[in-house]
Amino acid sequence: MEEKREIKRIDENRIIIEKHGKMNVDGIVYVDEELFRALSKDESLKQVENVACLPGIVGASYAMPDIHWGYGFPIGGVAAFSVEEGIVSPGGVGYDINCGVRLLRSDIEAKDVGERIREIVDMLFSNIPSGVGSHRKDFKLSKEDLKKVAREGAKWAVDRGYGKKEDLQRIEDGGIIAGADPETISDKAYERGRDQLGTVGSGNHFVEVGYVKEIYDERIASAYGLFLGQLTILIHTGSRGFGYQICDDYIKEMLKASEKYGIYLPDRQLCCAPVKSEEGRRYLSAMAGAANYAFANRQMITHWVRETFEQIFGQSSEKLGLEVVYDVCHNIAKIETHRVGGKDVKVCVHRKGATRAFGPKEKLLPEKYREFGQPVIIPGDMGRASFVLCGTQKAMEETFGSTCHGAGRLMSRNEAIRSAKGRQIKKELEEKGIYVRAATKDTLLEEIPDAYKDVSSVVKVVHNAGISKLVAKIVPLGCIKG
Amino acid sequence: MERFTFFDHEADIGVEVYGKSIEELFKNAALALFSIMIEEKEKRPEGIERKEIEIEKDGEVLISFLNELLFLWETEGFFVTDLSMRIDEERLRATLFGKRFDPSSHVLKKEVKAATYHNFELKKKEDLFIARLVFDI
Repeated sequence: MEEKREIKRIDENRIIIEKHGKMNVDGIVYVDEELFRALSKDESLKQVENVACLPGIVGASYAMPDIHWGYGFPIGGVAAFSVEEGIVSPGGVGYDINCGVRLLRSDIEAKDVGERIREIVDMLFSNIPSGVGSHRKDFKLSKEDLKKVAREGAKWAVDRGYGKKEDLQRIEDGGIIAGADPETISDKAYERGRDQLGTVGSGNHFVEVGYVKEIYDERIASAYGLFLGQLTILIHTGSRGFGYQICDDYIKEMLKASEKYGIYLPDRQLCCAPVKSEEGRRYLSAMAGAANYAFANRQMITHWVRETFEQIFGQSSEKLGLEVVYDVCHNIAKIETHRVGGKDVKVCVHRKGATRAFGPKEKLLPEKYREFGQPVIIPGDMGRASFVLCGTQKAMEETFGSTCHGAGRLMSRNEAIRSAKGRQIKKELEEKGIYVRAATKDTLLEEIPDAYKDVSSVVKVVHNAGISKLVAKIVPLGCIKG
Repeated sequence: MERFTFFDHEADIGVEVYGKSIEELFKNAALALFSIMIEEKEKRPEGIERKEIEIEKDGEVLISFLNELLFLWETEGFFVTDLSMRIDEERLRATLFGKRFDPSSHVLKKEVKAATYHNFELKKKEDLFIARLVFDI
């Protein structure tokens, strides 16, 4: 397929890979010249083309500026498939189903924290389980409990005292993805997920304390409850082993289903089934269960963050203003209605390393934010910055209401380790005023800031392209990593 | 002969595994997987446990096998240091030898989420079996 590839620049923020070979639609990648140059050395554009070959794809095979080489779908990929004629693919969601980010605000001023950041990070590290086999000893879940988690999501946690009802309104889909059926989930997934609810996990997952360094849109920032100099907390984790097992179980099923339905697969990791088939329906029900587990996971961690701050500041979390700003999924498939060619069409939108970015007036948004658009939270690497953006009408028109999800890797993990060799990463970060605790040995080396694209250049592209709008910049003060 | 070599993949980890027989290939793939995750501060012979597993021969059996090992790792903290196995028409039966993770003698480097099917290859070149795998980190 590659020989015939023709890439043209549409405008300064987008390129198009024209449909060729077995592609059903074009590929459109949101990148400026500088980010485009970084793409030449990996296989991610080929992955954009591969996704375009899948049946029933609508519009184009999209990728966001944080695009990088994943397995199957590229990371940063967005693809919508017609519910009538299209497919759903577990590889288009990934193993970490509903990996996502939640942002908490506070009424605390960062300047009042100073050296206490160490105390905060150390206490977060002991209150929130991260690392192998670590879990809170104060609760144990049965399979029946986990079935409830799969059905009820964040509400399950709130009903048991982990947070409050208002939190639920500020989570994508209210913290419950509809249609979860616990019977479509294997015993193995329940066994694997039993001890992992309320844990961060390793890789790039973290809980980070930061502060608002810059505000780009005063009106929207204030609607989101954000102000300059304010202390914030970001929680980045997903559905842990529960989701990994569900993905693995269904990839096996989908390999058979692809054969059964005669679907051409340029890469076996793209295996899939028609949305309306028994296999497709079962996967979506199981996936919703894992997504709900992830919402409950972030909800429990939120509760322990609040407890930690209460212990340190000796005040209630209400007094400290520790409220959820929003919680977004960035590995998910969802049935949504979008306008395509002047008609409302029901599609299954896959966002793999991409974030929903619904614009103003969307009825799925909480009332508080409906006038402005959905908060979009973009975590960066641990040394630079994270951003809060706002969804736009243009995203609804161009990208099925989607935008980027993070910085995107630039170096492989091995390259990062090689480049960090002999360096004292923890100390380097401390010199920049960032105090980090990590549970696993390689994490700090693999996650060095240089291993990532600069998230500022990623958000600049989505802002300039108009598929989301910059609201605020958050810089880190301290972080716990799994 | 090298048991395995790693190749670069941006977000994840790629590994090429070698074996003179299918059994040796599976064993080396298991050792590659756990070498990504665990470092033993000093290799001690004590504490070895034995475990029997059985997997239906359904789809890519090497990937199913590695994901089964990840399941054992996550649910029991068990990691493989040696194994013997046989495959027939219907299933794979393996006797695993390994240890339970103990922070006083083992270091966790990172966790692997799954063995993926992305660009998966298993071929025989002269007398050598070679598999190319990508692990999701």
